[in-house]
Amino acid sequence: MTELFIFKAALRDFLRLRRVFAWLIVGLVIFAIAKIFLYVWPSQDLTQSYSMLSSLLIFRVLPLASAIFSSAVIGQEIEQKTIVYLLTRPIERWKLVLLRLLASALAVAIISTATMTLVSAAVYGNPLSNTQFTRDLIAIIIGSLAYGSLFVFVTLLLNKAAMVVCLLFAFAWETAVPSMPGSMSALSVSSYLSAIAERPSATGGTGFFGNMANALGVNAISSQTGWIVSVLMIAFFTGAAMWWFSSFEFLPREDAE
Amino acid sequence: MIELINASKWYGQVIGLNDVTCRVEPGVTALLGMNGAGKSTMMKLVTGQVRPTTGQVLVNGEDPFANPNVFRKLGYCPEIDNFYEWQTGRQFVYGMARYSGFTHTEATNRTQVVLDEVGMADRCDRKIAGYSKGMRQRIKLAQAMLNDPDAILLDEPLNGLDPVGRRELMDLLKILADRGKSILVSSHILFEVEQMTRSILLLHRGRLMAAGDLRVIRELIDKYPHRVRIETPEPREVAKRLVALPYVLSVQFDRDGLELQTREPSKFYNEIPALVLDENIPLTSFSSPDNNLESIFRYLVNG
Repeated sequence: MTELFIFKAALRDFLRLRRVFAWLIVGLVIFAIAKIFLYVWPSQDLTQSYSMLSSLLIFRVLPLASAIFSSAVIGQEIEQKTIVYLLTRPIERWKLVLLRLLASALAVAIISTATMTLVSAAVYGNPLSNTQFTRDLIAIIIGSLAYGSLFVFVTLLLNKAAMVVCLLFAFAWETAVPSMPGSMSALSVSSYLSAIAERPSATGGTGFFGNMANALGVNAISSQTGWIVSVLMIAFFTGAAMWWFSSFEFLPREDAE
Repeated sequence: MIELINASKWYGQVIGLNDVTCRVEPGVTALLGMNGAGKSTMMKLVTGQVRPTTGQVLVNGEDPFANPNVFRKLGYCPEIDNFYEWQTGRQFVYGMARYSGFTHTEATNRTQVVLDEVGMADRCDRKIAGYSKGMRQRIKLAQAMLNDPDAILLDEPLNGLDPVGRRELMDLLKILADRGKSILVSSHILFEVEQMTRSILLLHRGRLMAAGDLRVIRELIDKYPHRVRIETPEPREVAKRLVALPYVLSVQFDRDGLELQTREPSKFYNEIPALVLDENIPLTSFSSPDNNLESIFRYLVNG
């Protein structure tokens, strides 16, 4: 089964130790930050603490990992010039981009879930005691696909500047837009993921982390809307990426210049 | 098999290929040209990586751009020297076999066969990162041969190969050509191409300058006199006899003999035995600096 092989080969590539090692460090740093937070601002309400840390840490790692992994779906193949081997195989281009996108989304989901498990362990001791775990896991999976499809399309569209644009979106846009007045939060993927996760409002926190969480704003989007918008977004950007990759020329970096 | 019909390719304001019409038939065909002549652009057009801006490119009657049907019967050995460096040669070729639609068992067997054919079977389990240039060329060739293609395109395949490797590659290409495959080899190492085939496509600044059999092309260049170098212990005496022939245009002396120019090389070569035997002209050796691809290339490009 060629399709399954392409998916597994891409996933193996995305989860190579050299790639994942940096994310392991990130996970451990986040675990340490969560522990420090709980030590400095001890709270009886663990759900509130977890929710705050989840907004601040887990759902920041998700778009960041997505931006980096999505650039490897096609952009990295162009960069390292190996794209030529893929484009001269008897396989439809749309399948190639779809399968690699799915593999990168799974890799991002695995990394984000590992981060969530570490934060849950820091807050609850036993990660399985976290009642929010399943809902966050679902939001992470949807988020991996939503960010992944968006970023892959951007990398196909912009090629060279794509990584910068994706990182700016992951950091600046996704942090600033949800806290903007009015309906601006509707322009952030993160808002819909929070709605899917049905995360309790993070407002009311105190201290540095509390203020940061408050700055992310109150999510007024319903879970149903979150699902509908996310699914439509995934379908649209995945379809657009598949069409774009099938219709246009993609040359190794040097040749394209 | 492979056909270009008035194919042109522009990269913005730069022209990569300019109104090229040609066919690549079974056998080895050399695609010649200097750097920037349009060889790689032509390769990219035929392998469906880019579309022609105008005109048509057909492989087995189909447009190759993003067309899996074409790639089932087309092998491509690119010029780039990039791989997934962390993989072994075998892993890379096996991966390409799976991408080509082979099952695990088929891919394993086919990988072994092509690695044997390119002489990499004994070294293919080492990481590609540690491969020499020649080993990399062989691995690239192996992946191009995976699906037993009807047509194989090789972009500068001789680069980096040692003399033994070059000889082996040439022998392999001859075997493949004898099996009826169309092989298009791009190169700027003219003398090596000459050993491989006499069928050429010559590109210059994006234009197809010449196509066909090397000797026929040479004969067509009658605007340039054909040079013949003669070694003799008596150059003055020999020159006196030769310059009397109506088709000899000029004679120049050098240290070991002389070099003459003629517009009718065939006639001259036919006359040589008679001259030596009947007129007792003392010739040690004779050769033609124009009987090679280098000179044809020079005439066509600089002409």
